[in-house]
Amino acid sequence: MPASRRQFMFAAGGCAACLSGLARAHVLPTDLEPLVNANYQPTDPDERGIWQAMERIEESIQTSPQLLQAPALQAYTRQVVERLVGRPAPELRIYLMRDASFNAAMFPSGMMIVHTGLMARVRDESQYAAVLGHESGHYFRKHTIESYRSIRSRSAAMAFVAATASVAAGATAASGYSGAGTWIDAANLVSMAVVLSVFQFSRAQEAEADAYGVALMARAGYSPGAAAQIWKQLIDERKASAAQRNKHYRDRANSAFSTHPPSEDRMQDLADTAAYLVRNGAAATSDGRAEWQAVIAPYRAQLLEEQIKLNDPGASLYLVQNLAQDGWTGPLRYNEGEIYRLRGATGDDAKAAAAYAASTALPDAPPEAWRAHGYALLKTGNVADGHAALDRYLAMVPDAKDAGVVRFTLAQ
Amino acid sequence: MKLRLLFVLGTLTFAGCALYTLVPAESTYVGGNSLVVTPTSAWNTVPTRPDQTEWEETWTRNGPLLDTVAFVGGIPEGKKLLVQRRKSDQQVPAFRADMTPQDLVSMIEASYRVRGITVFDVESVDPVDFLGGKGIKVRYKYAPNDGISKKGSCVARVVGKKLYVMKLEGVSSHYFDAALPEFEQMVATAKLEK
Repeated sequence: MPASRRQFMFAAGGCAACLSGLARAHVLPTDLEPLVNANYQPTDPDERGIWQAMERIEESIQTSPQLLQAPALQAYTRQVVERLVGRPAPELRIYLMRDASFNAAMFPSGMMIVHTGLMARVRDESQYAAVLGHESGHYFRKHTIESYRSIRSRSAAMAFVAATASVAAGATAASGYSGAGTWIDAANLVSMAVVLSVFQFSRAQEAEADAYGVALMARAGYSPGAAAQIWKQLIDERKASAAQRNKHYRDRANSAFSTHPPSEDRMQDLADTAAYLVRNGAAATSDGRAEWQAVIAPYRAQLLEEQIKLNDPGASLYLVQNLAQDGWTGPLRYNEGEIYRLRGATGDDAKAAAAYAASTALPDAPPEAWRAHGYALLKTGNVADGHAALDRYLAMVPDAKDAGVVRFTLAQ
Repeated sequence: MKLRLLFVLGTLTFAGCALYTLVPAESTYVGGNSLVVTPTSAWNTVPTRPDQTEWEETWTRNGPLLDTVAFVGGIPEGKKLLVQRRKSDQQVPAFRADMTPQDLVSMIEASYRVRGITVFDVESVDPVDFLGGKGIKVRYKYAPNDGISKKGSCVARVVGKKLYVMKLEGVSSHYFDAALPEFEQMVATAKLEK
């Protein structure tokens, strides 16, 4: 246990005795007051500087092609945040971004970003509230300015790092490298290095944001246990992903250099904090499952597609099989087939074909399932049924974007 | 000390510049010398990326961030469009000679998505004449994480159990459209090396 976490425990709780109800969690969730209100404006120069930098980032986000235009989902997200903080939050601006990674962030200027990769994995409103509550913790406890001040004394070192990185980025740019994250990304990051470094929260701040988020959930009537639940899902998904690639699951946070506590410890901390709150009277009114499913339904196909086309079969199968706990649907069977088709291991052609056939046997099969079913049949030499399935696809979507090549296949 | 700094800076500068070479507007071998194409204007070869396979060659006219043409000459079965770590979580499907048009489109799309590109929209998939037979032509729009929208046109055909690809990528505003006619002309006149 790092000394800093223990010190923080005393600072947050006031005395060790206060924490006797918590088996492992180290921050007392009820002692954390928000440091920011709806009319908050930065006054000191450090914070104003961060806000100005954030405004530049926000302008680029507003025009980003990755921005998801989804007013209903955006309004729903605002409603969840406002329920968590217990008041209207006009100072918050919410942006939903098309990014398949599991992430969300709340910036000190009031800008909140939620990735589609997070929405793909959340199963009910309480889980969504758990992540938004954690991010609210960083915001309302002013962790960014705290981080900034702690690194300011190292600003000379930071400037040196930035300058060194500039030279490296220049050299990389000259060689024309444009792999994962093009060099222009690197250049952008370098120019923002000092700003972005303040978002590297300390372990103590992460623990505080966790506790704060869980406390907000309990107060708002969400089940505080949802925070540990979503963390468990994420760990299970990563384990499934690693297993598919024949490698051992490694807790990415379990490193001396990581600012995050090891994931399984963190999950346990969250569960203990939730149990403490429940013992002290927190009662969930609902997990908001029906509400979440209703609001996410129009986007479900897109969210699944973004994940499945990454060809990360362990993670994707985990996701689809979990959604199928409520019953297999045509779209879910189709996506299961897509996972096997992309994986392409021995026997996967047959598994994909079976999943497509199962999808097309259901009344809500998407048109793409008929296309995939048709091509799967053609691969097995069943030309008549394969053509019939492709015809069905074209009948359902005559102006499909790949209609040209499907018609060509039919003419062969 | 000053001399050493100058030496380091000089090395970096020349290391960056020396790797681009001019491609004149005449018939030339590309993609591991397995294809012959005939550009109608001068291009520049782009230095090899870390994830580039031995079968790929890339050209640019205005710089790799604005426009590129890639030639992939004869990927054998079991190999991929990109070099990836064997245990990467997200992987481009390996090429198989029995891939359907749908499989080829998915493979091309995955080669973008595994690089962190989530916004990738296929606009059309059509048959196209390529290397003396019918291949597929995929047109798409995508958004790299630098926030600049791009368009792509990728032509692919399986010949003799090997995959041949020609691909144009360019910034949506101007550069893609400006290079498209020449790209299509290069596709139409590309030949397999005997």
